[in-house]
Amino acid sequence: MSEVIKIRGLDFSYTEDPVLKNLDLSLKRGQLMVLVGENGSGKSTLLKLLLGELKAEAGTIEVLGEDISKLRDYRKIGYVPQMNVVQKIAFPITCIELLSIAQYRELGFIKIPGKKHKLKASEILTQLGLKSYRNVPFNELSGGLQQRVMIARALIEDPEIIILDEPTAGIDQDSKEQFFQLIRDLNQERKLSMILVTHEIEMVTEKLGINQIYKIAKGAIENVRV
Amino acid sequence: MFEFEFMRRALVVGTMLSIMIPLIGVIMVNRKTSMVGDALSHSSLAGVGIGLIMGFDPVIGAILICIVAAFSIEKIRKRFPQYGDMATAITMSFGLGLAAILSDFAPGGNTFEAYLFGSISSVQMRDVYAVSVVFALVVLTSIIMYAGLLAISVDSNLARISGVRINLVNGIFTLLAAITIAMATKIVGALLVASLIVLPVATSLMIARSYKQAYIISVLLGVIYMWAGITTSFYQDIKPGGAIVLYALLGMLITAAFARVRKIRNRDLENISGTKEVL
Repeated sequence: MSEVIKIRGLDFSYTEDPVLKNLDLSLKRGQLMVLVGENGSGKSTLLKLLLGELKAEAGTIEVLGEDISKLRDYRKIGYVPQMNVVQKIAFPITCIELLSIAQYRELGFIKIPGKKHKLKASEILTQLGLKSYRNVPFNELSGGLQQRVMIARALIEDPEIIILDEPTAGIDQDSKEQFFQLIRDLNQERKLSMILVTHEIEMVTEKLGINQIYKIAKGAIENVRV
Repeated sequence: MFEFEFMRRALVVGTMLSIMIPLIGVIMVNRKTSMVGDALSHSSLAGVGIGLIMGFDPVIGAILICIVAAFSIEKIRKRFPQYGDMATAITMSFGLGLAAILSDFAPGGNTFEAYLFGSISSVQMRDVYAVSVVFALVVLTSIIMYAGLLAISVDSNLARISGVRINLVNGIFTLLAAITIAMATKIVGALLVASLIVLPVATSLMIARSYKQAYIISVLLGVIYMWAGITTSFYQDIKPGGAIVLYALLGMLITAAFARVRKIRNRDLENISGTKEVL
């Protein structure tokens, strides 16, 4: 299987103490990688480096064969942020509006989504069982539904890789189970490559049926069999 | 009142401002930066003072100071992101302090006071032309950058990944917001511009069911409040800024009561039918 993400010798630090040190990581096409680690271990930093929010001090990151420093078009990467980012959306934006503006690159000079973009947004929401919530304000949805909508948002540009940053923190147990079921379906049916950062190790191994997770500790990654 | 030229000028300028200000306000409120509008409008007084002392149009002074203040806030906020609205407080303090000193040297105390609470009689033909140009820019920019501005309001990092050029969009928005606020000081008043930025938007957010609705309702309310305020100012001889803000507050209270009644009625209907949808 080819590598969709290849990280070699990655170093990063905010202060004198390194957060990531000589880190190597490979995500293969179609792989669902579960990444765990204690708070402050560097999980979110790694994701920020992958999404181009931070720049590495040393080492290389290749996404789909392209060096991340040269990558300007992130449409091949779908990103689902943490709940604290999602819950900041306090104003009335409907799910259709949220997904329509996520197709920003497809909009013309006048950046107003048209019928084509709304139709695509509607299709994705329907595929994920969210048809009845299309015109509901996002801020009126439960946490579980909000994260399903954010998954739909991440899928809108047909990405090859999905990165999920602790997507289930703070949502109820039933919603978590449904969410992980959706992740499993997306990975198996659409063959999407995924990195899932989470603390829910037990549920992840049970619902996603995986027996190997990746743990960040002391700036490096180690495989853990569970 | 339409027989008076100054009233026609005031209503034309007021209408354009009442559309521009909520367009800017929707973005500011949704980004939780509405206090920036307050800081800019207060800082604009320093520019008014400079203009009066140096003998040029105080609105030009207000525009220059507002632009400097707006980009200073952005710069300080980027430098110290962990301190939230500290940048706004610093800039407002500096602007107000400078304005307080300059007001002692500004000729004609009444002229300076007119910029505090607004004045309909002071609107000149050159103001109509200047506001028209900025009005066109603000409306066009709001349309052209609609998705970018909305995406940044949702989350700037998600917007960047979606392809929005954050610095460019933010830079244009900051510039136009500064100019709009500075221009509004003449008719609405520096102390009251922030109210017109926030109140129509806050009212629209109580009833809007989408971002597009929030946009449209905010603008409609802005126009209604502006016309009601200017008309009352003319007939009752009171300051337009104060009248506009009081109408906006009244509108917000009525809307809050309406939203509350609607919520109770919907709850009762759900209880009767037993078909409450759990979102």
